[in-house]
Amino acid sequence: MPLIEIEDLRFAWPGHPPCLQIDRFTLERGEAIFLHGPSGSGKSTLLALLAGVQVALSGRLSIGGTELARLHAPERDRFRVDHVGLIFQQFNLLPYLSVIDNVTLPCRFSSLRRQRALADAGDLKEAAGRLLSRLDLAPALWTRRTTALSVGQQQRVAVARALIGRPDMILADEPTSALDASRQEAFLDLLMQECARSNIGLVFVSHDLRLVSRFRRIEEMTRLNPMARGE
Amino acid sequence: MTYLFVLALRSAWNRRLTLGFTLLAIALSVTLLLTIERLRVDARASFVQAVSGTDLVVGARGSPLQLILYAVFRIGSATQEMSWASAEAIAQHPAVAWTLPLALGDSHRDYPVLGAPRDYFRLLRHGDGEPLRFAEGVPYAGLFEVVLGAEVAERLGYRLGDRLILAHGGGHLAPEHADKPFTVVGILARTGTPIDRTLHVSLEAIEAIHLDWQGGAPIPGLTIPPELVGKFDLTPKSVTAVLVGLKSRAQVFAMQRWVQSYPDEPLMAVLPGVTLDQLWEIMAVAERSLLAVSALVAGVGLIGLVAVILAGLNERRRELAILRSVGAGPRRLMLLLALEGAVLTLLAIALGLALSHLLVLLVGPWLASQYGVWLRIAWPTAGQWLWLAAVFLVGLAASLVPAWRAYRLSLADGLTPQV
Repeated sequence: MPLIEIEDLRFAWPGHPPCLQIDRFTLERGEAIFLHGPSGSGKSTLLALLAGVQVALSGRLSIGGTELARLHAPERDRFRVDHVGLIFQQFNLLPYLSVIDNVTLPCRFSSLRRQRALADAGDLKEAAGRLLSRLDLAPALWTRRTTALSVGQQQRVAVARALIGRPDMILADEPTSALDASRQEAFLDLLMQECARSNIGLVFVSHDLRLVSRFRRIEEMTRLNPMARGE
Repeated sequence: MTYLFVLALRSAWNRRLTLGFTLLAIALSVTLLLTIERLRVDARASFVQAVSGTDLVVGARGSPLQLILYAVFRIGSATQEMSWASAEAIAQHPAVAWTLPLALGDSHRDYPVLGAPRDYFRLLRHGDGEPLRFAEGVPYAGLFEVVLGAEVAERLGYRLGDRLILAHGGGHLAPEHADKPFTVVGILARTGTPIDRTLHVSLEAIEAIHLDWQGGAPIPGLTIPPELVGKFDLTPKSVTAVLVGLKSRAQVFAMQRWVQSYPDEPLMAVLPGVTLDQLWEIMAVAERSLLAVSALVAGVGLIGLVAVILAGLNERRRELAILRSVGAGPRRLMLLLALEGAVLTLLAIALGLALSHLLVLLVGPWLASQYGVWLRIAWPTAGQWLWLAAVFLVGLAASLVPAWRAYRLSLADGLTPQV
């Protein structure tokens, strides 16, 4: 069974005409996909649907066999933290928590992620520490406030948070756009390496085609979504 | 779930400066609201306390309000006099603990002169049942001796041993009792009541300076020098009013009836508290505008609360998005914002309460001595609790606005806030 399965999906923001229609889309477990397209082509909308923040008007969207539309809103919130890791463009971290506390945040809200993280390491700090080390963040930084970190470091902390407790998939919304060109590739390598290591599906959204070469699977949003306005 | 509250606390701590100022703004308006209300309640009480301990004020039948204003506050026009025999009869009544016959009418440079027995300084109470205290000197013993109220001594610069001349009646052009000067033997401590503006002499002195007077002017050709007045009977023939203290407050209405039906002379007995309450009703308009001002102040504080929370909301959209990404539902985030507002308002009310008490503690003694308003440290009155409840409810409602906006935004934003 594929990780993501979409069929005849339609969506409209409240009070707006339909903006997304996807006839068929699947993603296997551990598969990485590069999703690109101009703004307004429905990338963010698709991410919101995959994260269970929005619900489709009609059609089927299941993740790991679970039909998201069948879940009540609180169940979808719970499903999201259990199965999905999210990385935003920037400002991923809570400024009033230390680096370690930011990384372990999903384990505070999901017992599933917590159990898996504890299975990987003795305790949550240890689990977070291992991830941070693999992402090239020195232990001296772990107890710092996140505002003291560079943007690149902050994005790597966000990756560690998305990875902790091995969710089924990671949704990354232009995570490299705030980074220097030289850092973008290193960041992407680390992200893909860790996803592969834990068999995590990756949906990588970007409009920067320079990164495309790293992916085996590339999807154009305007082709996926006939309703895309484009630019 | 509980961790969300931990996060809320840390988030609030992270914004402590802004929240602190909001807290202060609301707390200050609550302080103002409480203090103005306390001032209003206590000013009213203090007004009555100018004659604390006096159960009845007796005078010739007429307007009760006029009698109280003239005999207690030395305001307004003179009332009809009552006879000395009636005053004596009241003093003899078995229910009566003490009486203070008062004779008013003369003045000194616009300050009223009061003729009263020596017991006046021992028996009269003001404020919270405080007795009179002497700042300097002693009560009068001799005929031509005078005890000054604090303000009289201060404003006119009199010291012990100074001599002064009383005028007949009031006003600038009043004829003077120039042949019989008085010596200052005592100066009272400040009370914050009309006593401060009064010159006190004995009842006999009032009688003595009027021996050779008739109908408001000296009798032509007749002068009785001070050394000779002792040869006359100086028992007063009439007094302005009699302050009455009863052995038991329970007898106040029985005594009032007894006085009203006194056969020899038409008299009335007035309960000072009741009459002053009636007077206070007249001033209700001023009172209500005070309340309106404090309500406005509280309103401004609450609008500030909404403004600050709304302004902070845009900055917090990222924070809310992150919390949503780790599984916090929009309703829970809404609850969190509402809770923050509620806790903030409650803290502000508590702080306002504390500040108001502190203010009363610090400013209270000064107000009492300068204006005779005795502020009490007390739990809020029923009315004040209502105000506080209103502040809390409005504060809660105010924080629901941003909470509702956060709910809408976190749905409309999807995952990535458009900021």
